[in-house]
Amino acid sequence: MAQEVAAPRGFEEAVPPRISAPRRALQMALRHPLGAFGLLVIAVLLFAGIFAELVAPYDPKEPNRITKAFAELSAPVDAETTTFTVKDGADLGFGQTVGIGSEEIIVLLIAGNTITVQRGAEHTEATPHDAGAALGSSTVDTLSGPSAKHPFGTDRLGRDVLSRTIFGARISLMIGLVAMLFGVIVGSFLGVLSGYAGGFVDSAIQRSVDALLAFPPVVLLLAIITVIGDEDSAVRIFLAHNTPIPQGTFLGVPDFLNIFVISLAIGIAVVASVARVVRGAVLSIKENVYIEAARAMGATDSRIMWRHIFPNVAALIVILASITLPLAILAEAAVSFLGVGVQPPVPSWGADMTANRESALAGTWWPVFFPGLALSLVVLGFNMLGDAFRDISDPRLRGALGSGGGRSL
Amino acid sequence: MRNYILRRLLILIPIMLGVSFLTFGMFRMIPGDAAVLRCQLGCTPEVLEDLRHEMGLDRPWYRQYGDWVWDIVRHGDLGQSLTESRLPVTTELDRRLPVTLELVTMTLFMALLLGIPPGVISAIRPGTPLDWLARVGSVLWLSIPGFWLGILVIAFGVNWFGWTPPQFGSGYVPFRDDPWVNMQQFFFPALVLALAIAAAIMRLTRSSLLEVLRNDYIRTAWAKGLRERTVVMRHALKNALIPVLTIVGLQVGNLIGGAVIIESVFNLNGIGKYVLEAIIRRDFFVVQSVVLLFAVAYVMANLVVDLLYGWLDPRIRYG
Repeated sequence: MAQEVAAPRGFEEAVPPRISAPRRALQMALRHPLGAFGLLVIAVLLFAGIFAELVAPYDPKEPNRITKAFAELSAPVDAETTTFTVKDGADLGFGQTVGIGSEEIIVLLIAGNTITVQRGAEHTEATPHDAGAALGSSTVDTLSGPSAKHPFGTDRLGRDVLSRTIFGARISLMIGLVAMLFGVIVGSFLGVLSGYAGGFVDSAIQRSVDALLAFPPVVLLLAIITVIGDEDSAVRIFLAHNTPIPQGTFLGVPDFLNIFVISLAIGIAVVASVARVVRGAVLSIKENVYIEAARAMGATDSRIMWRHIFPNVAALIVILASITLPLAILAEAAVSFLGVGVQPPVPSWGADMTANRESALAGTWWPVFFPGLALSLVVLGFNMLGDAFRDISDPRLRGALGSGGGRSL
Repeated sequence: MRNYILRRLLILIPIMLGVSFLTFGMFRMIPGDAAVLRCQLGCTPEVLEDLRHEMGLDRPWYRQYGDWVWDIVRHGDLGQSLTESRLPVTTELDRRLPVTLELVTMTLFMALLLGIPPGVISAIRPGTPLDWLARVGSVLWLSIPGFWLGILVIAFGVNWFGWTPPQFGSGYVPFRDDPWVNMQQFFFPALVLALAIAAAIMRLTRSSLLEVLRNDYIRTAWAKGLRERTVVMRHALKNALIPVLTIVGLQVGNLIGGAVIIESVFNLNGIGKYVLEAIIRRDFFVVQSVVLLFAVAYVMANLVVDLLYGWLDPRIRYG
């Protein structure tokens, strides 16, 4: 058994007080309340998007029906009776088909509170009914306002807006993530290569970047999407036949290939700006003595690029990713809104807003309002989280590299 | 100075060639050429061949590209629409350019107005509720998509105030004809488009002014006993605005892209709406020319910004 040795006094005091991980997280959250708020918003929407099937109260593509009651029987009827007396407030028309319980009847004649009907229409059996039974019919519940049953209301096709917004989160986040990953990975690769290699490679890459950056971002994105989004575009055919990207539903995303192509287009649109920024950083890192030392030790070019230079631009790349992600999400919504992105009936915030534009002008604001609110919240969340992240990782960048500082879509 | 402008204009040539080549190449990648799109009912291979010949699509691609660029350079001819009307692009642009120009100018003006003063206030009073308000506001405006805000403005205008932007009834009314109606047409689209840009300007004004205020010459100005107004406005702001100007130049790209979206939301018949409609009906001759035009405008705007640096900061000299 080893004997305990008391540490000298001086050392004992030098040990900083221990803070547990959750406590540290809480401190961090208190210091950056906006960042914590952003994280919370993203966590909620991410959860909703991933577990959409469990969270959403209705099927996002199924029109909801409601039974509208027109009248109530004031006296019981048996299976043979064809004359009904109803209570006041009958709202029936001639020739109308209504249901009583599981039976359907057709209204033939209306005289005051007495109606003559044809029993057992539409393959249903004529059965006796009690007094008070409702005569009703089931209709698609279009454009009904927010209520307890449909908290966000229903859209022009009677679909539940809340469910569509929840499923829209999945599409939106998926596209944003894939586009950001593609843009940042390809852009960083080109940037490191261009900055390190110099000479002809650098010129070739930089002139292409110049040409791409000369387009206003939305215009470039629209052009790319028109070209590669076409039903028989070469890119799409190539992806369908030569890669394992599924054409049907994948990870709960319907029409996955289509969604992937849109992400790719958005990704291509951000490659140039990422490559430009990363190249700039590489140019200054390249001049460091440790790079020279690595070369003197006989390290290959690819080793220097990926083992010595890349780790030094990694922080910058993460920051670029944090700026790109909300932009990619906004870009998806914008192109879907313009009708060239995600196509209905796939639930997409942008496409849903556009689909319900006309009815919004007639006063039904909810099918436009809620998807847009979700979109604004998720972008706001990412912007706030990104700001906090930049504050924490490098105080010198405070405010300077914010989303406002970069090229935005 | 003249040499500098000349050199910058010369650099534009390869960039423009790259841009035009990219645009041209991109739209050639779409399967099924323009003739197939034109040729719909009763299309036989002969008719298709005739159409191709008529539209000049039977020439080799480098001839097509060359002729396109040459027509633009020589005659300023941007080609014509694929639709039955065969409307020349330049004719449409003549009609639509004033709309887009007015929208963009007004937006830029509003963005500066909404961006710089809050940025200055937030920088000279850091940590106060005003600073906090300005910063939260800027993150909000950056995150709220303009097209959503646009629809809400129209929808709530109609339903709550019984007011629709007049362009939904009548077409574009030039400022000279009726300033009041014209302002009604442009106020909200410009405001919606300006918010995100104002937020970017505000953030940069704030951080840039904070940086400048730490300089020695500002301390000297304070030590001389100058009023705060003089220190901030005369000594600090002018220097702080240089990076802000760069952002304004870069934002011209967003402005053009935003115009494409906002014009379609607010039913303004500008160039943005024109190009969007052309993209949707796959009128590629129109798209390639207008996209090229946008790129030129964007690059030129950034050139103007670079030249303005010299005016703002006499230390910057162009050799």
